[in-house]
Formats: sequence, C-alpha cells, structure tokens
Amino acid sequence: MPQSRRTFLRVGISSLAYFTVESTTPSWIVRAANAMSCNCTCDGRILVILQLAGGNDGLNTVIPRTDPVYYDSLTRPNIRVASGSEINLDGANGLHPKLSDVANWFQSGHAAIINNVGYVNPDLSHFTSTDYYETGSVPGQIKPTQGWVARYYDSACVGAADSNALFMTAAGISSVPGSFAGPTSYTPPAVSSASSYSLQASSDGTLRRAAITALNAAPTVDPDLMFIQRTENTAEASIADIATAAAQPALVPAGSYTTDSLGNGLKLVSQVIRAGFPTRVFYVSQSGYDTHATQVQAADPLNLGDHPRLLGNLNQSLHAFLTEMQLSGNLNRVLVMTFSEFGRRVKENSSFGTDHGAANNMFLLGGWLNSGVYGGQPDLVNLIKGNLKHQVDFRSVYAMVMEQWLSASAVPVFGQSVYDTVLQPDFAKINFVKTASAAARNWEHYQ
Amino acid sequence: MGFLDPYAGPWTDTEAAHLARRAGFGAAPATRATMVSQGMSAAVDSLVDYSPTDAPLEALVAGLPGTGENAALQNPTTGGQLEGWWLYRMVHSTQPLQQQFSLFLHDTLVSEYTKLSNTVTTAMNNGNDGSQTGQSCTKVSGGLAPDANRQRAKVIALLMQQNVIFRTQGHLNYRDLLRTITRDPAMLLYLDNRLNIKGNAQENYSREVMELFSMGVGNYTEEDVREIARAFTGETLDSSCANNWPYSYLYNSSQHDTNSKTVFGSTFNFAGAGQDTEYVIDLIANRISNSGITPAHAVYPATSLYISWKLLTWFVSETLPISHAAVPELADYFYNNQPNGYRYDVRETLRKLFKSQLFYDSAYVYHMYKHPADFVTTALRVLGLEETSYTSSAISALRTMGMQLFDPPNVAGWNHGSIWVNSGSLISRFNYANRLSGSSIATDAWVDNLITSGAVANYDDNTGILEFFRARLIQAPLTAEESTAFSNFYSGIIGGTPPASQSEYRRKVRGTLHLMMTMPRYQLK
Repeated sequence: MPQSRRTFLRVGISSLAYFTVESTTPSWIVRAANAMSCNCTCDGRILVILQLAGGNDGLNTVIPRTDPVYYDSLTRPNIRVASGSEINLDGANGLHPKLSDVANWFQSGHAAIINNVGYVNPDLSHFTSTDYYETGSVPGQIKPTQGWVARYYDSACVGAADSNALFMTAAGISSVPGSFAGPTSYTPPAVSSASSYSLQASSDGTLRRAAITALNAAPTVDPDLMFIQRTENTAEASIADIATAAAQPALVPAGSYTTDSLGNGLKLVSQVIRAGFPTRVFYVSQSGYDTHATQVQAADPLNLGDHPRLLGNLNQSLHAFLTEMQLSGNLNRVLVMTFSEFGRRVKENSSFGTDHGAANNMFLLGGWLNSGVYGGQPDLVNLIKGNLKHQVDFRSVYAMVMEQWLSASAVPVFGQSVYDTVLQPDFAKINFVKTASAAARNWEHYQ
Repeated sequence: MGFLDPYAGPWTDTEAAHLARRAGFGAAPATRATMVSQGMSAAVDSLVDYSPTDAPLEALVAGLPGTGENAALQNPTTGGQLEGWWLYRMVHSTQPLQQQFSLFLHDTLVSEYTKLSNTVTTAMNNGNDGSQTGQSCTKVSGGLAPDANRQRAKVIALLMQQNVIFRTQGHLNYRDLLRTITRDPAMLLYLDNRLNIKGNAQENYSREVMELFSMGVGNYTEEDVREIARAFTGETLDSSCANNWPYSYLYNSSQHDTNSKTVFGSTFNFAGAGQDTEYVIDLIANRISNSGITPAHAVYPATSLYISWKLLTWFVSETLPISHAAVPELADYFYNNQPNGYRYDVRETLRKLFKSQLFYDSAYVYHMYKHPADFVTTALRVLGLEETSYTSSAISALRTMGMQLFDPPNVAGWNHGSIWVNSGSLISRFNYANRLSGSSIATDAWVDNLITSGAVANYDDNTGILEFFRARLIQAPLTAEESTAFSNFYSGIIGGTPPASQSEYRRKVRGTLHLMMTMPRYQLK
C-alpha cells in the first residue's frame, strides 16, 4: 500500500502541472502538491461523521414504499408516512417528504443509502449500543479502549507530516465523541462555538498568555495533569486556525443552516474545509431521535411532531453544507456518513411513537459515490422480537469508508479475523464509492 | 480490612480540603481550620446532617432587593434564569453538600429542559392549558401572556418543582425517591409515561428506570421491559383545566392495563390505583443482581450496587469500576444498615462513605475532574467574589464548558471525568477565570482588601498574593516551574523595578486570579 500510494501521488502531482496556481486555487491543492512525503491526508479526502442520536426511526426515514406490511393497519396505523407522500427514490424506497433536498442530491448522484445496517445480538440500550458504534465493536468482544477513528489515526496517521491539531475535529458539540476517544499522541479539539473559541484577557494579555502556556507546560508525571496539558496545547494550536476558518464567508444565504448544534457544526465544518485545512475527519451530532411519544402529531403526521421536525432540520443543514461544498469545488472530496445507535420498533406504540429497535439505515452523501439504495429491502415479517434483523454489519460500512475513501487498511482497526469473516463478505453489498483508476480518481479530485 | 473502615489517618488541612472539594464546592482556609478543629467525624457530620431547608440561603434569596437579575433569581421566567436560579443557590448555600448532592440526583434521575420545552409546547398548543382563546379551558388566573411565555413558565415551574424534590427528599430513602420521581410531573413528561396507555404500552420509562435509575444493564430482559411498561400504564398527568398548573399527577384507571403482568418471574395484577407501579418499584429495589460482576456482588440487590457505584464515581473516582470491591461493601451498608429503620438510607450511606479510609486514599486525591459547576462555584465561594450576572454570563459560561443545568445531553446525564476537559471547554474555563478577574467582579475594593485584611503585606508582597490564591484555589504546593511562571508574570508587570504602584499591584492580583484558575491542578479536585 505505501508504495502504490507514492506512485499515485506522483501521478497526481504531475497532472497538477497543467494548472496555474492562482490565488483562487483551493489551498488544499497547494498543500497536497507540497506534501510529497505525506501518507495520510495528502489526497485531501474528508469524512464527516454525522450522529443521529437517540435512535432514528429508519422506517419512517426511508420508506419501503412497495411493502404492504408497512401500510398494514397493525403496523403503523397512526404514524406511517402516508402512501404517495413519500419521495420515490428507486421504486422500492422513498424518502420522508421532509427530506426533499436530500432526495434531490440522491437523484443527482450524490447520495447513497444502506438499509439493514446493524450487528449481531443487538442491544436496545442507547448507551450500550452507541458504545458499539463509537468503538466499532459488537457484543461478545472485549470493548476497545479507543474509538474506531482513533484506532484508524493510530494505525495510519500518527506522525503524518501534514496532520495538525484539527486532524479530527468535533464541531458544534461540547465534548470529544467516543469515536475519537483515546488516540495515543494527541487530543482532538472540540469546538462547540467558533465565536467563543479564543483566549481572552482583560489586561496584560501577552504576559498572561505566556504564563498560561508556562503553567500548562510545567513538568509532571501525573497522568491527569499531563492530559490537561496536552488538551491545552491542542487548544493553543487550534485557536488561530479556527479563527481563520470562521472568517470564511458563507456561500449560502443567512439562515440556510439550522441554528442547532447540527447546523452550527456543519457550518463550521464547511468553513474549515473551505479554509483549506488538512482536516481528515469531522464529527457532528443531531440529538432528539428518541421518539417514544408524539413522534408525529395526529393533526398533521407528515409535518407535525418530533420526527418531521428533526428530519426537516437535518435536510436543511445537510443541503446548506453540500451546496457550499459544491460551490467551493470541494464536493468530490467530501463524504458525509450518518449513523444512529439503533432503529426503532416496526410496530408503533400507543403514544404515537416507536420504542427502541435494531437494524437501521445509514446515509452517505458527497460527490464521489454511486447513488443508490444498498443492503436490500427491510424484511418487515421475519423480525426478532418485533425488530428488524440486520443484513450488513455497521463495521463493514466503516471499513469500506476507510479502505475505499480514506485509502487506509481497515485490518489494524478491526482485526484480521473480523475483517475476513464479517466485513469483507459485506463489501459486495454496499459498494457505494465510485470506482476508478487511481489516476482518474485523482484527476477528478482536482477538477 | 474493608474499604469503608473508618479513616484513622492524619486529619489536617490537606484532608479537610479534600473533603470540602468533594462533598461541597471547596472551602476557604478559615472554614477548613474549623473542620480540622472539629475532627474528621464531626466535620463529616456537619456536612451530611443538612436540613431540608437552607434557612439562611432562603432568607438571602427572599431579601434580594430590586428587579431584573434579582427578581429572576427569585422567580425565573426564562431558561437562563432557571439555570441562574440554581447556580446562585450553589454559590450561596450554607449546606454545600445539599447542592452538590442535588446535582448528583439531577444527573442520575435526569430530565431535560429541551425535551420538556418541546413537549409542553406541543401539549399546550393542543389545547389543554387554557391560555389560548377559542379553546375549551378558561385562562388560569395569574397566568402569563403571550403563550410562549406561558409555556416556558410551565417548564420552569416543573423543573423547579423537581429540583425541590432532590433538595428536600434526596438524602432520605432511595426507594421512596424512585416512587416519587416516577410520579413527578416533569419525569412523566420527560420519559413520556403520561402517554403510556393500555394497548401497545410504551417502554421509555420502564427501560430507563431500570437501566439508569436503579439496577443498571444486565439485570432485566427485554420481556421485563415490556411487562413493566404495561404495569406503568395509566400513570399520567391531570390535564384538566382546573389542575393543569403546572401539572399534577393523576392515576387514570381507564387507561391501565388490567391483564396480569410477569416481572422477574413474579406474576401480579393489583386492583388498587397505582399499586402495580409501587409493586414494580419494590421488585426493582429488591432484585438481587444477576449480572455476575463478581461473586461478592452476586448477593446484593442490583439497585444497591448500581447506586453505590454511582455514588463512588461521583465522590471518589469517575474511573472506579463497578467490579471494585468497595461497591458491594457500600451496597451492603446502603441496603442492610438501617439506623433509621429502613433500607436505602442515603444520608447514612453518604456519612459512611465520607468517613471511610477509601475516601481519603491518596490514590484518589486530586484525580477527579471538576465539573463546570464545581469550576465556577468553587472560585466564587472560596474567594468571596460575587458574580454580577448569574442568569446570563455565568450560565452561558457553564454551557460552553459543557454543562447546561437542567438540560443534560441525554437520559444518562453528563459524561464525567476527563471528558469534561477538551480544547473548547478549557478555553471556556480560562475565559470565565478572566471574567472573574475583571474589575466588575474582582473590584478595586476587593483587591485592595487583601492588604487591609493582612493577607498581603504590601504592593510588593508577591509571595503573599500567590499564597492567598494558592491556599484557596489549589491547596497543593506549587512546583518550582509553576512558581517561576508567576514570578515571571510579576516581573513583567513591574518591569523589574520595585516598588509596585497600586495599579501594578492590582494587575498582579487580578492576573494571579485568572492564571491560577488556568492551572491544570485547578481543573481537578
């Protein structure tokens, strides 16, 4: 792999010779051209992980529109998406009408959906199941001490020449997510609000800042003090970069992003990308999907209730983000991947809601993929305790993203035996990344 | 030798400071001196034996003059004011454990402002509140207008009511608290049991009450979740026009599932109002752990183990595993020791914990992370500073540090330990320290009083300045490098030539306040 990567890079850089590097050239191209020895971020590809926290109701998000069981009066008489109001994607699947912009991205070739994603012996606890998704492990395994992205970082990117403090960035949320937890050599930044991400001093700013730096560098062997010092170093190293990013002008009208953590997060991700930082992985989160009650309201089930509201926000902010990526020429190097800790029960409950379920769908959005619905149709008849069975292991999706998108081996992250017996067999079912020769792919990136 | 054996080691300022940081929000040197002279046992008793009503605090709040911020601290009308309402009480409490423990309970028996806000808004828009024209109810007297204000006021009232439960009943009997919180209107809204009716019973509360409020995962099956959901049907709110402010509990027998239920192998179906629910809470409280953590755990009720573990992770170490042998030891005390005649005596369990050798084990000292309320409250209390904006600046600082009071991120509460510290939250902490060091809070009078009171000898007494803050904020000795960082700061200000002017003195004091709160040590407790 390292050898072919280097070859691939030379091809990429020689093709750059056909371009004049002007001030309008995205700075990541310049960076890529300069980063001859990089092994991690030099192709400029970016992964944005989008958590739908609480357990999104996948069956009311991607509707199995030709399955009579979905429309049966015993299944979801009150909360189903009424036949004909869904947006047809491929005949068998339709999107909730609140996802109209996502549907357009799908039709223009920029979105894929994987149905029936899950894992064996699904756990119905939010926190246990989220832990599986964040650590990339399943029941019966010893829980890894690091998140799956942190393991990817440690196996593929430690010491990469062009990795900086922003390598993994949590945007719009006030903590480092489990997926990023525990890389061996640095602490990822978390930026809940770019506007407050600067160190203030009411007087003696220079003197105080020097003292803060010194106080956070005093030698110690205490692991907690060392961790705080490392985090402070990350803060100092990332403040100027976040300020640079936050100065990027919007390419969409004011109000295009929602003003929640999701919208604020995606807006900042867009700014960091457009500012040209070599950030590899971002993490944003939207919460509220635990829709046990009033998931929809009887008065207007398509528009009123928690689920339509959440999907509307998701649609709005995703659309703003993808539009900014397209307008800035970055769409082909960005991949957004959603996940949720579980789907919800196939049958509705008496509260106009749904209880915890199992298998679910994942969305992938970006410029360089094959639109389509993968993973087969959900089987609404053969259930496990009322919940959907999974057909695709979620780790297979992670592994495919890692290998096909981030060009890193997934074996060190998940282990050879899991890779051979679980992940690789799934790959044929979910081949959503556009295939092309390395040179063509690289060329496409530089358009 | 047990972990809970009484602590018999030295009892000095060091140990008293540790107790104050963990069981409250730190303590100034004079308070610690009192604790030292009391002796360990009496010092713990005076923290633990708090009264349900903090009379001096209530008098202080009631006596707040004027309007605006002060009025908001008495009767909040926005979410931010609600958070300030509590933060002010943490800062001014004469019974710090009462506030710290209420926060523990809020973090354990969670309700979220955001969810309540969405839910109440929807419910009121659907017309059972009476505040809107054209609806069946008539306007409740004293109600607010327009409707958005009224909806917010209802959510605030619900959460204040829940906070009062934690403050006044939290230290009593945990089994009773589970019953009370099950029927608390905020909880009935938050975990949706108000809408749990016969038919396809809804599982939100039945799952979370077992997973997070009592036993922990591994002690129940999915079948138990479904059966308990049926037992809880009909436990709802009175939404009739007369009784809907803010909302009161109602058992609706017509929506209760009257078929028999089987939980943990016990089959039952009681006829009395709410009896199924009470029986289920008792089943939960007494169910022996089957999670096989260790053989020593296997003889205790899962709830006694899980809540003991939660207490240990709040007061001793966030990383203490549930398999630790101290957990069954504390569970044994929690469940079997009955000085007041009942199991699950919270106050006695806290007393035992704070007097134990485990609590003072040096392996744990300074190895917990201050949560944001610790960070803010401790500084204000030990320095005797007064925040000028509890309802705006202080709570927005808390939010950017990751802790929005009354609105934890999810039903499991906040994540604790090192996760409190990340680049963004550290920046927020440092900037709040800077805010405190500004002249509107650390006023000239406050700064100059260090000299008047004798804590600092004169404008050039750098050692006195450093010691004043170290003794209050850090307690541990400074390392040579840390001392150098401060002395370099002082020389930078006076330019190397004493004597310092009054204004240079004030810059030194304010800078020290800011800087000491940015030390890694101050993030720990």
